[in-house]
Amino acid sequence: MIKLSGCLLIIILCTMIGVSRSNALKERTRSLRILTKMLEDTIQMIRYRKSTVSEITDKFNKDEVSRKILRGENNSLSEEGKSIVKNFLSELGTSDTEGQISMITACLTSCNRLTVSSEQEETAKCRLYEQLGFMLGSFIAVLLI
Amino acid sequence: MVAINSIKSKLTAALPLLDCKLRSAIDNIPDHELSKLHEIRLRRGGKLSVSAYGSEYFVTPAGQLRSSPEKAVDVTPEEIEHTYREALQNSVYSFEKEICRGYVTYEGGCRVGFCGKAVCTADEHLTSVKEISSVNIRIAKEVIGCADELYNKLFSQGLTSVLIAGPPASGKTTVLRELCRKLSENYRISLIDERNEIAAMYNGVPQNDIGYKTDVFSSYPKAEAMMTAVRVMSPQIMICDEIGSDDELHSFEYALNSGIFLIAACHAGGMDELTRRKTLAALIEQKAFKKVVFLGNGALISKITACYDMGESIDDKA
Repeated sequence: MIKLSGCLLIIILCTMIGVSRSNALKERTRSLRILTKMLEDTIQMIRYRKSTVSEITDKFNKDEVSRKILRGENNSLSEEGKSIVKNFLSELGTSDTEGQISMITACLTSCNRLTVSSEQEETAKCRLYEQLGFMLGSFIAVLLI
Repeated sequence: MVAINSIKSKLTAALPLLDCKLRSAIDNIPDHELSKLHEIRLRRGGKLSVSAYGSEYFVTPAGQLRSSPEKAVDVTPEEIEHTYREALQNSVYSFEKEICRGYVTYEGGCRVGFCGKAVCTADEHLTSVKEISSVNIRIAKEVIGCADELYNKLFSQGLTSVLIAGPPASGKTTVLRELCRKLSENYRISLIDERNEIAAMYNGVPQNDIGYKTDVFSSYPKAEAMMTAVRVMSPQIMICDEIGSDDELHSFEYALNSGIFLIAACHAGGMDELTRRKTLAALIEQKAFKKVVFLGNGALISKITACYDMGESIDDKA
């Protein structure tokens, strides 16, 4: 009975590891989509409202996910994603409207590229991770039995 | 007669513009001298100086005001850059118009003026300023009571349209602000503050006391603001500073024909100078202003030196 429970536990644990890896991939895509939306909103705020840097950051700080992305506390973003945020923040406010929009558009292009690649990875690997987790758990359980 | 209202609080609001070393030197200036400060000046590679008592003084790290630059606080390029970026709220793109105009209004109504190397287009159109070499922080002053003489003389019998003229630094803007505050106790006012000097709006809040019944059109082109004010705010009085450009004539006529009283200010030392300017001459010709008042400068700052009733002098102290 104990052996059976142990095996079941191992299967559940391995499946959960697979699901968590799969969720991390989904979360990365979601964060990239939010970052894309933030960059698009910033362009609108600069172009039509001439909002200052503090007005822009105040707006994003109201949302938990956006705030974490801005502060570099979002762990689901890859290094490349974090570097886009870093570039965006370091250049924000340093030039005229045209310069700012060009800079943000460049960030947006990189972000879109990352989102597409993340979406492809998500489609290809999400189910794989979940199934692998379950299979690995089952394999260990069989070995133990 | 004149009471200086909260100059120290205006100065305190301006201190974040300065880097630590400069801020500490200004902070060390004794209170009785601090309240007389008019401007804080930074020059790249120069010394920290202030304008007070009608002269410019250098400031030592201990806050002493000296005529000689020796022992005064050095101003580094980084400190100039700090002030410039702080004045622009780290958002160059939000202040493109102000950069070309040469000054920005900061919290508390202080005006940060700057100069450097102009960036121009091929047709000599100024697009930006780089390599900022000098910064002048003008501490905002509200002089409560400075318009009492003018108010009693012109508005004791009711409303009238007035043109306030005077040479530079004759207190025209300060008088306009004070008139706005006093008149808004009884009348609805639209304040056309193209240069953001009268109300000194910061984040949508007037930094100066302009009264409770005043609607502010801040940084609007004057002509457009006047037309919009008439249409949307139905004012009883319209106040605007620095009038005289050609495109304003039509808007003035529109406002006057809408039954609104105008109070405006312009640069002019005398009636001759006024009538030499096309728009002003046309407005005077049309009797748009019932009174034309001249203010003095120096010891006569904010004081009436001459008052004309539709072109005829009724009082001439000059």
